[in-house]
Amino acid sequence: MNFKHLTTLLCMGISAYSAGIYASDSENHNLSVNGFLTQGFFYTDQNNLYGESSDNGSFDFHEVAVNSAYRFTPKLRGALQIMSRQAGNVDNGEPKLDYALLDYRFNDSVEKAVGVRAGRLKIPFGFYNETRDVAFTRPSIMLPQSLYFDQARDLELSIDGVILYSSLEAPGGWLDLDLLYGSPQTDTNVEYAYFAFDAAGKFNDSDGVMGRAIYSVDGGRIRVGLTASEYRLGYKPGNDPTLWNELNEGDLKLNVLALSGQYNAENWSLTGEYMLHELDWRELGGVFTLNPVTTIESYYLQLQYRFNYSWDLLLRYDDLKLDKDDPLGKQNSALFYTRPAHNFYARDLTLGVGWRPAPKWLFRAELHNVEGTGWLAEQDNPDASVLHKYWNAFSLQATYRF
Amino acid sequence: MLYIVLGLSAGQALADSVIVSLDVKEQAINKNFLLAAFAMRITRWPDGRPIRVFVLPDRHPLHQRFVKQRLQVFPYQLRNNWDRQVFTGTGAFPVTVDNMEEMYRMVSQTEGSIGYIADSVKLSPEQVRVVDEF
Repeated sequence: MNFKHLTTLLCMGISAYSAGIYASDSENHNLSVNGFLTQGFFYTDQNNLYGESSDNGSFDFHEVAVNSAYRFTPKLRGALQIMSRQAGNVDNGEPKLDYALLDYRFNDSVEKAVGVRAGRLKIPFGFYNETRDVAFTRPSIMLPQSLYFDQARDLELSIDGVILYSSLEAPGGWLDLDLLYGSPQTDTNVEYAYFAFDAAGKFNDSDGVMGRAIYSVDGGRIRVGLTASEYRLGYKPGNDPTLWNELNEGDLKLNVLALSGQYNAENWSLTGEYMLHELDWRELGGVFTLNPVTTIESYYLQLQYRFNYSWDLLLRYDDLKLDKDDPLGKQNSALFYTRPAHNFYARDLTLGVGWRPAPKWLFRAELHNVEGTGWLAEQDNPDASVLHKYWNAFSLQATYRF
Repeated sequence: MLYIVLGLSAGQALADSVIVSLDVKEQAINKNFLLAAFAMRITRWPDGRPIRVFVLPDRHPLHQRFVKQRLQVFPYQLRNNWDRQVFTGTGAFPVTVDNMEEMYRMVSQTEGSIGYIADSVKLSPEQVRVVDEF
């Protein structure tokens, strides 16, 4: 475990606690403070997941966040969240500004609610991306990694920019629309995710647009969503142009199209999402001249069953193909010979159970039976050639919210 | 006779009342507005003042009945909406009160408030107002 940032976490906790007392004492309806603490445990029979999980299991996973929101006027709100996330070698627990925004709502009626948010914003992608680190909004300990892969999380997490949002009355329900423009966060994790190595140079000068529409029918019994985005990540090479794996200066272009669907009954919910993610490396050249444009294809199908308020079961099949034209990874493995074929896809069958003994507590346990290593983090598994094609993971998670 | 029977059964199906503070102008509220307000999707009354929403705990039988019968959604859907909004900085939780007495007291004392209460509770017209749904 990493205690480097414990002091900061304690400070966050104390200030949140005192702010909470202040808020409840004065019955101030304009100020709110909330947060949560999550601790996870991961054990794998092969390969590493969030730390050195294949030895004796790994406790190298926590998520802690505190947020506060204030309503300055009936139309203007402000909100911010600070989060510390430790996840093996992918995230080091350093507290980060997760979001910090001002929200001005011009219209606020059932027929038409329209507003604009500016600052650091959560990225509205699919059903789960915005709250991917918030345990009690997730259906499982790990979100389906084919769509919500943890590797590129900085890119997916938040963006500095502007969102125009609206909620419009539509036949049988309502339509939520988000239109976003901004510059994504691109740190080393993004290089691992899209290069599979930590390149000498770095991404700077990036921007992206994203649009999401979610149509909710019958009070949200049926939800259908469409997300489309286009990102441009400008790569600037390092100082040594003779490095064997150096790339050209240019833009990595990412296009994402995702379809989401959900049916919510009283005791069960059926959810599916499908994503096409096109990566265009043409301007960067280097090792990618071998396969300059590829499309990742992902989908999952998930069934949640709620026995009562306290207990739920989850069953999910999650499928990732890093190159949709090469579902078994054979051609890619021949091109990028350091990576075995199973490093280009993954099929994950997940069985999970959740328990809420009290409103503030959530415990989960989960089994993953996986073929393929396509979404395993390079940071925790530096040598792809020693990875095992078939592997299993068992994980536990405890969350307390306040 | 048929009319009376239907009227009775409708009355039983809607055994809870939506209550608002006396300063709220709306005499009747439509179902879409009701759901949007309790889901915290809209935050202002038509006159522009903030809506203050009060709810009972998720597991309270009256909350479950109110959400299913009047809002016609399931309590877990409301909870998911609230959590998603609060932890993305885009919305707020309603205020959770422990019981009906507190609900009554808070709604009567808070401007722009809305809540719900069982019909078995005697209401004073000087404290809160029951609104109809259309």
